[in-house]
Amino acid sequence: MFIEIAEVSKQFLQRGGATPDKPFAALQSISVVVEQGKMLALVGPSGSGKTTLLRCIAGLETPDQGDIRIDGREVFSTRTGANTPTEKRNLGLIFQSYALWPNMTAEHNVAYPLRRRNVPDAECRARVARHLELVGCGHLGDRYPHELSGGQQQRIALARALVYEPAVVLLDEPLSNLDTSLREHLRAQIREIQRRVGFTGVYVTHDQGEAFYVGDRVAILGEGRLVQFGTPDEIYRNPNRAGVAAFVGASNRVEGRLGAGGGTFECQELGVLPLAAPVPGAATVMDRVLVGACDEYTLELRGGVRWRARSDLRLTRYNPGESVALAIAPDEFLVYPGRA
Amino acid sequence: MTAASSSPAAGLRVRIGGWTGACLLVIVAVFVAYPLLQLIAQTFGGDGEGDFLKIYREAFTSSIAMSSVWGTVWLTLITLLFGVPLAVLLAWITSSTDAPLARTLALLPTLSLALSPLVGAIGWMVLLAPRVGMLNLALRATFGLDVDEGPLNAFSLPVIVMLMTFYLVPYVYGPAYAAFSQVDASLQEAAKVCGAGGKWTLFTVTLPILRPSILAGTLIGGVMCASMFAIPLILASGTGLHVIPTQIYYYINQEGRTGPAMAMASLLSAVTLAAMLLYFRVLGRGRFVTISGKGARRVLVPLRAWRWPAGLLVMVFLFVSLVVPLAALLYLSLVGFWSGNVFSQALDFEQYRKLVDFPNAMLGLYNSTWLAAAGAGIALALGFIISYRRLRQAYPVDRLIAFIASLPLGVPSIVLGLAALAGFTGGFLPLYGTALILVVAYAVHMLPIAMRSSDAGLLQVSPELEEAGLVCGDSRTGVAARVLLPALRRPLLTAWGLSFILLFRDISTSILLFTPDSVPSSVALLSIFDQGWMTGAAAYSIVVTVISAAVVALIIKSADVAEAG
Repeated sequence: MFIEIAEVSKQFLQRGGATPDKPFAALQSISVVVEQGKMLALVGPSGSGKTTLLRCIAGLETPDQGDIRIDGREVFSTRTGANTPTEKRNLGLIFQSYALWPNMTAEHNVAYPLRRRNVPDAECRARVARHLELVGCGHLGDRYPHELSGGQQQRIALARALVYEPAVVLLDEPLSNLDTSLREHLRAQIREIQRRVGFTGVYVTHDQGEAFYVGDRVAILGEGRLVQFGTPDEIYRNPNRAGVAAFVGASNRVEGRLGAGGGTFECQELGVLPLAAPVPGAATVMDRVLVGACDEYTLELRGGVRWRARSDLRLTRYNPGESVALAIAPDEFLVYPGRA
Repeated sequence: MTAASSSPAAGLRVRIGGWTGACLLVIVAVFVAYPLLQLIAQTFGGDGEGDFLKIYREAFTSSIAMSSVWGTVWLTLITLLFGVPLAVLLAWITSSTDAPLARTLALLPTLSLALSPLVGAIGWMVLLAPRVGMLNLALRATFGLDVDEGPLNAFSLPVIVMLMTFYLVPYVYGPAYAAFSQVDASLQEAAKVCGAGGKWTLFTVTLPILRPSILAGTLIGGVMCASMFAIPLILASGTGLHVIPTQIYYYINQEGRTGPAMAMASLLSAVTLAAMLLYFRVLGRGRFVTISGKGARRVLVPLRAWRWPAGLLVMVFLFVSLVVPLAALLYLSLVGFWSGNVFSQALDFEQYRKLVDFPNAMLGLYNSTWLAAAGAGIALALGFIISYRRLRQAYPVDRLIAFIASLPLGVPSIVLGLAALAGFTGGFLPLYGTALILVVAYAVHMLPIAMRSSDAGLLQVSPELEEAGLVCGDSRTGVAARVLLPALRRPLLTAWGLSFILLFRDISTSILLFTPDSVPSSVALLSIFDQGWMTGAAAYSIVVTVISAAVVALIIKSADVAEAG
């Protein structure tokens, strides 16, 4: 494995003002691995510890516990006491704020890491030009950061992180300051450049769609713990708990009891019903909204519970107030054990 | 940063933060804390017979000594009473209203820092001396008054309070202006939407938000007023007003008694240090407005009929506090003769030529230039390193270092001079009698300003800019040199310039420490003044002010260049 993170833990002291400082577990024994040339997406709500983990890999935070290995090299270990400083870890890091130096032009920003590595002038210039070209900013070299748009700044930051061909590139919510359409365009570009250059990456985001788009592997974090780790396919098909299912987009949730043999389902909202067979009049259409190429319905079930459903525009469209049938298809449902 | 480890040596290293931390701690302990402690220790010497407070009793036996305590309290309070509302009003006009020229004039009240209080006091004496003051002469001629003196008198309490107010205003105006500029318009608009009128909004939303900034400015301004030496020295004779700083000077200079001087200095410092601690508390918890990258959105208050009076108030303030005394000095220096018929003389540069031959005049300019440059430079270098460590690396020891380094802010400058005298006469570091003691005292004097400016600068630069440098493979020092310092060029240059100006004009720290070879310009000016050569004093005042103004201009210019580049 190219990056190995083993049982990394980190606590912060929460400053309480008048009350004494409380320890707060930002990371609790996290273990994940990334293969060479693959992208790991760390995803989770804010406060889940994803950025802390990234900063631990970069060496900008020091874990309290655990080991981190990059390319077979132990960069941090509480066992051996190793702790390679950030500048010796040979990483690229792209910040949410881009962190372009305001006193340098785009070109100088990108050239900075090469100059620190004493790359000869001619080669330096060629590499800077090549990387500006790679991110589609070849013509912006002599601009200062404040003369660039958000998207352009983000691309320059990408070029700066790639120009010295680091073994690992870390991306900390690189697109969250951009508007939706630009974000979609740039995530495609990042994915393409990652495939083309073949760097190993760790990509932090709070957006599940973005994580599944750029990640070869996805690690879902919550409250400092690793909740699920796998390929996007695995996670999407088999969220290992109800919270993950909700996070990856399952929107309707119903609690009930499976009948003996699994042929029926009993719950308060629907009564006892056979699985896979439609139940006429089980729900009323409350609202219909056009979302992209689908209609999204808000349905009200018995007892006032609301579900959401989508359907293709070419199928029958229902109007608010109409009564519809519902069917529970066993393979469309994810089942999690309840309190019993 | 060092890996966590259990050995005691490593633990100590983590707490102290390596060799730099140890060196900084030693430097601030020896040059800041030690002299102050020496000062206090020497007041408790007594007579060796267990009479601990003998020196304190001695210091306050005379009625003049007691009246100097009340004089300081009275003068400080009355100056704050006039100065704070005036400063807040000026800041509000220049920052938040549509008064004419407000934006253009906004920086000027701060600029009046360049006018030394000593020069200001001499300027007003030239204008208002009872017999031959220019303004008095003009008034007598205009109104046909048949008297030899007056109608106005420079040596009077109203004039002293007026000059003290001019001196105080920039200290309150600066923070108030910054705070007014940072109050987002949406806060005020929200109040309006809730039904509050303009005046109501000002009193219920805007001023309460600004309270911490105004309070902070008031506290630090109060410390400055209580420390004021030059204005009472020139103008208080004959008024019956005595203040502690001048009393300390008399104890040492006239009576040669250091004990009572130190006792008075200790008491004064106890009060001003308490004010400073309060100031830190106010800054620490009460600052509602924070510096953000973008300025807050602002809407100017329309003053309608009051537009011109408001603009006029700002202009009159600048005119009276800056232009009038300087113009009087300039005129007198060119006339070369101070008498009843001062307005009928020919103008020439004779006085300036004579200054060249006056003992100490040129030496004073030369000394002040290099001493102030060195003091400001050392203070800035130290202050920046201390501030960087406290904000970016935060070893436990850094808070202690920063605290000690900020103490001089709460110590009146004449007391700083006296402390240097107490700490570095003989002992393990006998600097007294050399020019070095002035460099040390100057650097210590400016250390808090250098640190505060560095703090402000560092808080504006996102740590991510430095982390980006580290990730790119640069060392911490490399990042500081290549990323941080260029990004902070403007605030650091400004801090150096401000320190230079304050040191260049300094009299109260220097007056107890200078030697014949290290006479600073302020002492030279005072000796010209004391010899009664008023036209020479006027010419020298103009020279000193021109040098200060040139440094200000140079800094504004190069800061603009830094901004553009």
